[in-house]
Amino acid sequence: MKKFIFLIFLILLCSGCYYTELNDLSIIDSIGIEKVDEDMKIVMSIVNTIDYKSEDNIETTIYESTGQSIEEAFNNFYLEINKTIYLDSLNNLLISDTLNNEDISNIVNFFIKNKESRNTFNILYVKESSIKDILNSNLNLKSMLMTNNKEFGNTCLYSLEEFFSDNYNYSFVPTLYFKDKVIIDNYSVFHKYKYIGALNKDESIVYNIINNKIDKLNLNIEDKYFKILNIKTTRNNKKEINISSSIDKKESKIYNTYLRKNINKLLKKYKIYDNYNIKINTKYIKE
Amino acid sequence: MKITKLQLGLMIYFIIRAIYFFIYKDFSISITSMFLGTIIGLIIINMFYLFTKNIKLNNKNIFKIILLPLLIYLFIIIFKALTIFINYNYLVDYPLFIIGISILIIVIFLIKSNIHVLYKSVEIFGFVSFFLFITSLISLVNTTEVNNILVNIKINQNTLVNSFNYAFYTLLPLIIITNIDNRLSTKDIFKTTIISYSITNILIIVKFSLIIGILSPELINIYKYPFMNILKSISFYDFIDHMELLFGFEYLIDSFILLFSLSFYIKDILFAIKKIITK
Repeated sequence: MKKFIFLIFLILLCSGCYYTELNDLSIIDSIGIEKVDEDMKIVMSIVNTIDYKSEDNIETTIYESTGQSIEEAFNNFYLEINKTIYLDSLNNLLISDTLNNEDISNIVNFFIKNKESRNTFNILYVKESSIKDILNSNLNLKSMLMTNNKEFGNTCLYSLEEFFSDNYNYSFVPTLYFKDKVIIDNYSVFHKYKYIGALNKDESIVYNIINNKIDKLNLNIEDKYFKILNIKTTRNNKKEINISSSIDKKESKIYNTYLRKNINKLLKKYKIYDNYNIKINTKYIKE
Repeated sequence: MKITKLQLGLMIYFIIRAIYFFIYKDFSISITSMFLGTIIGLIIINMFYLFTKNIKLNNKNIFKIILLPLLIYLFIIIFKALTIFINYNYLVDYPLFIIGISILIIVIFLIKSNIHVLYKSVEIFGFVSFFLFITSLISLVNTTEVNNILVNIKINQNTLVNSFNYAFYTLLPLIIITNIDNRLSTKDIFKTTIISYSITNILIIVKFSLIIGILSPELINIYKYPFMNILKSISFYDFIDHMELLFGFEYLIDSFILLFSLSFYIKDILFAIKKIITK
């Protein structure tokens, strides 16, 4: 009997009082942050849980809020919404080109130190466009980037944790802009959260090749069309990069010179692996 | 009922893990120090066995009374760590005292029964823990950056100090459990300790390699529980995500078992003291 009293007391303690219902949470899909007249402006797309159909077809409502700091802007959301902000399901964080390096540093620290945030969500750089336009288009940005990486190969998913870890070196963030519709651009380069430039299409593809972030791609080099179905990059401890790819042996010379030229150009420009004395070995494997 | 070698081995496994993840908590240590620490630990266990072969420490009441403050101190630390861990990861909005009371009720509930109950549950949870360990290892191995691990394997002036520190922390629980338990023969305890200590340390090093391979050193210093943060990257074919709370159960088992065993030993010693007083 005593055991039962213990158990009943335990059940009473562990249930009920401090539970937040799913209906009381505002589940956020994307957050965009920009600067308007020295104030931080946050644009959030909140998932309509009532009209929820499937993960690929999410309907969202856009909310906006401004404040002097990012914390204040987040608090100001509670003037217009009646649900608790839930950052755990966040998929995308969009940072605008109106922010300076200090603002970006504050934003990253805000999310890293927030225990509710997962920090594995994607970070995207928005140039020359309004964030509200991008979020209003109601696109699934994550799957858009994944498809781009798979079929075109000039960007890839880049998480906030990676952005934070790479900031002492160079961080390469996928970029978006809005011109009647949302368009994916190449990588933007940051050093200590400061925007220092952008890569062109070739450089972006080469960056993905040397970081093994790409499996297949289509290339046009010297009016010749290359369809490469298998690219594998390994970086061994001898500080060498080995690239193996499936390509015709006859055309390999053009591809090889293209890679060497572009890799060296990229490394010279940004000194990505400063302590790496890079030696490129291209090996060809049968399809 | 007799305690088997497997049960004792698993008990050592859980307790060392709990001490490492909840009390020692140094994730900036190098893998070299951990290896050296393990070797130092094995040497100390051997020496301890040679010196105390003929003295039955577990029958000496003075030894037990000396251990009592250490046990109580460990109990308080692990109780506090476990309460905060549950509050931080599982029951976020709960007040700490309610979580604390719930844990204490389970402790009281359990120490009323026999110690064999604890050993039997250790055996069952052993399989659960190994399953979670291996599944998380398989799913996280792809996201691990090998270069981060290679950079960590280094020798510097702190290596020796860190390795002694590591050995001290991992040996601390062994002195307690292998000397209070007089249910197995000394030779059996010695053999099981050596095997279990080595395997546990290797598994801890594997887990530690995953942590430093996935998170950068800056992130490890910022996060309160880096071993829980790496579980957030578990994803099976982009289909099953958000599994960290399920896999985090591994650490809950560790800390609960350390807490329960400590409370059992404290109860044992208090009974021994009561006997001395009534004599």
